[in-house]
Amino acid sequence: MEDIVTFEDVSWKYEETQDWVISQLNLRVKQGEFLLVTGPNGSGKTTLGTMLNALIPYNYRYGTLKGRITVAGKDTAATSVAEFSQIVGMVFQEVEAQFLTLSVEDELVFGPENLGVSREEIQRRLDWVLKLLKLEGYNEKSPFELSGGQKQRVAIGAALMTLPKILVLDEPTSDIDPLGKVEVLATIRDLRESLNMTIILVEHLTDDVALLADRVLLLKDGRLILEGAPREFFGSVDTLKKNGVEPPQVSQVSFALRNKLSNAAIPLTVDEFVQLIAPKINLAKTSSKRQPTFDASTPEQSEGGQLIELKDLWHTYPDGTVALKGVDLSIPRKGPMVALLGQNGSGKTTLAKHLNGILKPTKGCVNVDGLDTRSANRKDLVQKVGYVFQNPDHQIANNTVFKEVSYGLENLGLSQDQINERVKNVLEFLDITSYANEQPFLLQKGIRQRTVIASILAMRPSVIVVDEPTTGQDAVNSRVIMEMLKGLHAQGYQIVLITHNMNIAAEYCGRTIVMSEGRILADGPTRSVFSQAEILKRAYLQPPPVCRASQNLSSKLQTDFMALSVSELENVLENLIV
Amino acid sequence: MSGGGNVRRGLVGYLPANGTLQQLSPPTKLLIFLLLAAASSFVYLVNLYVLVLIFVVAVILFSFARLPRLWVRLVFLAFGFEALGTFVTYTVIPPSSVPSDAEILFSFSWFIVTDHALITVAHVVMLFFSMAFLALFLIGSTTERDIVEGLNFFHIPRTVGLMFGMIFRLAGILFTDYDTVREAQLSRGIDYRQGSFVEKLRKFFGVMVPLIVLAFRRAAFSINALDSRGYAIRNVKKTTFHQVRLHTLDYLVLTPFFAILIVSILARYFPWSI
Repeated sequence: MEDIVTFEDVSWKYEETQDWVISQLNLRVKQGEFLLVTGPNGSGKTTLGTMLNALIPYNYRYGTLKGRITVAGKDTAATSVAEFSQIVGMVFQEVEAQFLTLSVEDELVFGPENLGVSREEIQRRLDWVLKLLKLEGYNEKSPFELSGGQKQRVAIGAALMTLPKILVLDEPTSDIDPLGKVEVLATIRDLRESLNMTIILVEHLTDDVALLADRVLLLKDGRLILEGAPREFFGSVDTLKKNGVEPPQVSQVSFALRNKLSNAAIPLTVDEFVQLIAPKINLAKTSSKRQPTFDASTPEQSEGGQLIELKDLWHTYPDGTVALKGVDLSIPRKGPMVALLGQNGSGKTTLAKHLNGILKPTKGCVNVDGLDTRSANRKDLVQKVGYVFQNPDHQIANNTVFKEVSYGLENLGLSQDQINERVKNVLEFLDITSYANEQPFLLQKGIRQRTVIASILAMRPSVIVVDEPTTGQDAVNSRVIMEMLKGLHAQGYQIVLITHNMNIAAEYCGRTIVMSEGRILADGPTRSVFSQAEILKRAYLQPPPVCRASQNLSSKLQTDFMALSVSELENVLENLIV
Repeated sequence: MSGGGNVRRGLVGYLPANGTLQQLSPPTKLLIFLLLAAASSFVYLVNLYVLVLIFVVAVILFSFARLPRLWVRLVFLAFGFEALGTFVTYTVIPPSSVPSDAEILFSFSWFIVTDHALITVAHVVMLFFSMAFLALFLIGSTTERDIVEGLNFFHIPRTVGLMFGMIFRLAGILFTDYDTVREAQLSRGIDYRQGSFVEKLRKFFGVMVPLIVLAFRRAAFSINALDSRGYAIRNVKKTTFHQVRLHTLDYLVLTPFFAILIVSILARYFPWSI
């Protein structure tokens, strides 16, 4: 097979950056190859993607490009982006930002219309894409109102409509529910198989994509650090972790136990892992430790009474969408960190916005520490429940971090001395004092995220609702944010975490609430909820690989255990493997 | 979530999927707007009766568009001030400027209300309100595709139509962003209902800052997305996938609006015929 992409000693820096974002990169991609590009935030992954259709250098004219990139035989420095639209299909990381129209059909036909494709051919392609991506019947829907998985499929469909030779996907599953992610990845795999399309997938969450690729690259600071076939690549667990990439959970467990596993090949999937581990387990040891380490009770018992109570809560949006259908729920003053999980559009965010009165019930009521949110004063409510929005840019409204954090306190009418003291404390606690006089919009997303958490924390609410704090964050940043939330929880704050990241929910949250179609499907200790695979499936969720692996092993070995994290599974197996 | 199946997203909100206005072809809605706009320009400062007729028709069309209440309030707020400003402009005049044939109805120093001034103010107010209601009818009853197809029907270049469509799309997205930013501000203890006018204005600016930043970020993304999908390709005749035709209903609906235009022309050039 011939090379369809070549990078020859390529370096690139943006006008506003001092360092090279891509540095002396040499790369060849073959026609029909599936290449996975991974690396921490800021490693140059997205930049690499945008070089493939000449957006770099054409739309970033003041940057500096060295070396030569050819795609399908064309030099990207000498061919326009528009011409590349017939060769390279792009699916950008920010899925909504790439929508150009207000209906799915218009979005799909936009590319071929520009390229002058005949109406008959556009209709043929449209029918094909709608069927292929399971979007039939959604023609007139606004892409902005679809579920996360559907949005991603529309974005992929729009790229496919020009029949490109190469499909570049930048974190195409970062904001969708676990099974939606599986669906999107299966679609990508099918495209590659049926059309022999070259796929270049940029992704830093590796659990579901490890086996899809033919080859994996690790970029850091714009340099190629590691390259290889998936099994070989993900076997370098230490190197990956050192460079801010979290290998698949089962690979990490096997790597930790490699001495006991006779240095067998590192598994990449749950099935491979179970096949490797099951024969090595000593049944005698197993039966003597029937429930090796865990029990199914709530890790921390609730105390101090209920802080928030939702009774028969209904919410209907102005377009008639019924987002909540009779939800009953209590959140105690003290208790385990709560994960609120569910498919895109299941009602998680709508429910959470009722907790501090941002939304009012259409029917039913929400009581927060004795206050009815329908009539309570807003200032009282926000001091009980703080809400951190998913996108910090929706929240930031001031020109320094200090002012941003003090903004809410000014609204509460605190004196300047009180404001200064609280802001100082909270900046120190979140380790962002050095950014106090910086313009928040210019800071990295991780720091912006901490700034908005600080602004809520300064109001000293009893409960902090955090909406998808780890979306788009690499393993290191995600862990920093979660450890920070864990620290707050340890200090007595109740944390409600809305997330699609099942690994995070399993590892950090003692209680899990699963929502589907505006109702609560399950509510209980995370270990118990995550063992109910059928319920999770109904909510388009899937337990993390370590949970599935331990479930498989426990059913094979007729024992009963479920690990929620890599370290838990390592500890269990350490004792059981001969 | 469930429900919401009988509506579709318009430029500034949700439209009933099978509403009366949605049965009309996009060029028809555009023509209604253009015919009434042209008619009002013929009778402005010429025939108040026809202008009032156009105003009434505009209000009826506006009510069909079923815009959110907030919009109605904003129109009355904005144009109420405009009407007041016009009234002051035409009535605060030096006494020497009062036309000799004008009847003075009320006067206090330079504040002189004449029959001429009142009629002129009525014309201005009718015209502005009619145009506002018509523009909102058009915005409130159409989708972005309607705008592109409507302009395309009249052989206006596709690029122009798309540009309009994208402006409206961006406006639609900004409304969505506005809701989210506003909610984010609510969670910081802001109460938009309380405080003086200046304080409310300050709170409003709190929403504007993130909105502007988001708008710039979105615009940058949109440019990349447009380019990546061949928008700027040269030497290619672009295809219009959706073909628009006028149907019997469109002709029937358009007839009275053509009639209004004819009446307006007659009122302007042959006043004795009305």
